[in-house]
Amino acid sequence: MDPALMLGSVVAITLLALLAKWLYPTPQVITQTQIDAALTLAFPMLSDTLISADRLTMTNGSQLIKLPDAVYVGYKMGDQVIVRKIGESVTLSTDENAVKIIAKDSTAATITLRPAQDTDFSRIAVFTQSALG
Amino acid sequence: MTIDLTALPKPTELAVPGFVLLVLLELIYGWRSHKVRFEGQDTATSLIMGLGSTVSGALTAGLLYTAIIWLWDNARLLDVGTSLPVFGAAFILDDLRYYWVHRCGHRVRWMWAAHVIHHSSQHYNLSTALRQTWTGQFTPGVLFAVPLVIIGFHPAIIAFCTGLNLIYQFWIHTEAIDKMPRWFEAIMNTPSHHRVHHAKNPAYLDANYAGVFIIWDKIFGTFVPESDAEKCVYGLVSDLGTFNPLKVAFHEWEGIFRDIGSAKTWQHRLLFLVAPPGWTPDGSRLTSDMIKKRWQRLNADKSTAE
Repeated sequence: MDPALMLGSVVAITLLALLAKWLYPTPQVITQTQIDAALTLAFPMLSDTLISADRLTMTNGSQLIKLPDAVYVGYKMGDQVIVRKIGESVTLSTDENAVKIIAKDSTAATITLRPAQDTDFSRIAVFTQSALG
Repeated sequence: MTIDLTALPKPTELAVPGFVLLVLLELIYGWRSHKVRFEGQDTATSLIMGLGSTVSGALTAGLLYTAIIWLWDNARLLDVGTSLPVFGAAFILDDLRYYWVHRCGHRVRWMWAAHVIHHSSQHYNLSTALRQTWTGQFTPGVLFAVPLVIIGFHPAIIAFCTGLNLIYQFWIHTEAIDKMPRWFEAIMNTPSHHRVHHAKNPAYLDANYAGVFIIWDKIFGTFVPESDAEKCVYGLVSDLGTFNPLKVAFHEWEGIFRDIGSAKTWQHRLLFLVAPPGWTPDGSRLTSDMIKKRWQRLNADKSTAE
């Protein structure tokens, strides 16, 4: 490669990277990348460690899940893991309005599943801030 | 009309300013419109991977080119010349070569170790196109060019066509373009087709390996169209969760060495190298085939229940 072209490319790409970081700073809220890393670390065998489907046979109702300091809930639609943060108000409404944390104290939360049409809640997990690293 | 091979430019080098400009435009477009998703650190990593790939390619290009020129001098059956139709034929055959090397890149773990880098971003934008391997030269992928040389295509023609092929593939890494005209979608690889290739949804795994012409996927049964009902989710089935370029570049190699080191038989050692990514002797990890089958079973169960 022509040295001048190489040097020019390095400079241009460095400037581009800096611009990208300025325009799209890493958000203070947890990123999807961090969530996926946490899931990988916390649940190396995701399908085995998530609460199994037979414990969530009631797909339209509430289930009490022990939730010490848990702040995130993950669920699976088909094979796709979706994770949402439980906000300060301790309510969570997903894009599909499918999972709602309706009450939480220091040890437990009631999770109400309101599956949207065609939503397959075969797995659900609740995990902690510390698991997210 | 014949073409002077010594005067052939290096297409990808000449295209670098265009790559930079288009990434810049997409960055600004995404920032203003929110129609294209970026993550600053992710983009920076992609750009670093692109630079590293150029450097590693430059370091080993001489050796590879020497080997392939030796093959040209000693093993070719014909010399098809340097006419314009030869360049056209080389471009099409090189794209067929790309289809197969790319398909094997997803199905053979040794080759996946190099190619996984390109799929490690959880975003899909023009910077993802530049997230390229540093280690492709150390896989059997380089051997896929051998038949073209033996047929009689000069290595310089193949290198030129490969460069054009890579340039074509740059613009299809975007969410900014929805669908191209129907006739174009039918023949050519497009942003829509390639989004499917980068998606980790079970429905989209192991699909659309094409470089330039999507017809190869249609011929060999790997074509999957993008569906409005199945929005693409990008990344790996087990995402890396890091922006560290060294980890991005070498994590799968590390995994292969670790698995081979702990394998109990030579058969297992070999399979850790050549079986599909995710293969283990005890089935404790998931291959893409297993993920797809499980997804199909879930869908079938759901249909039965209804």
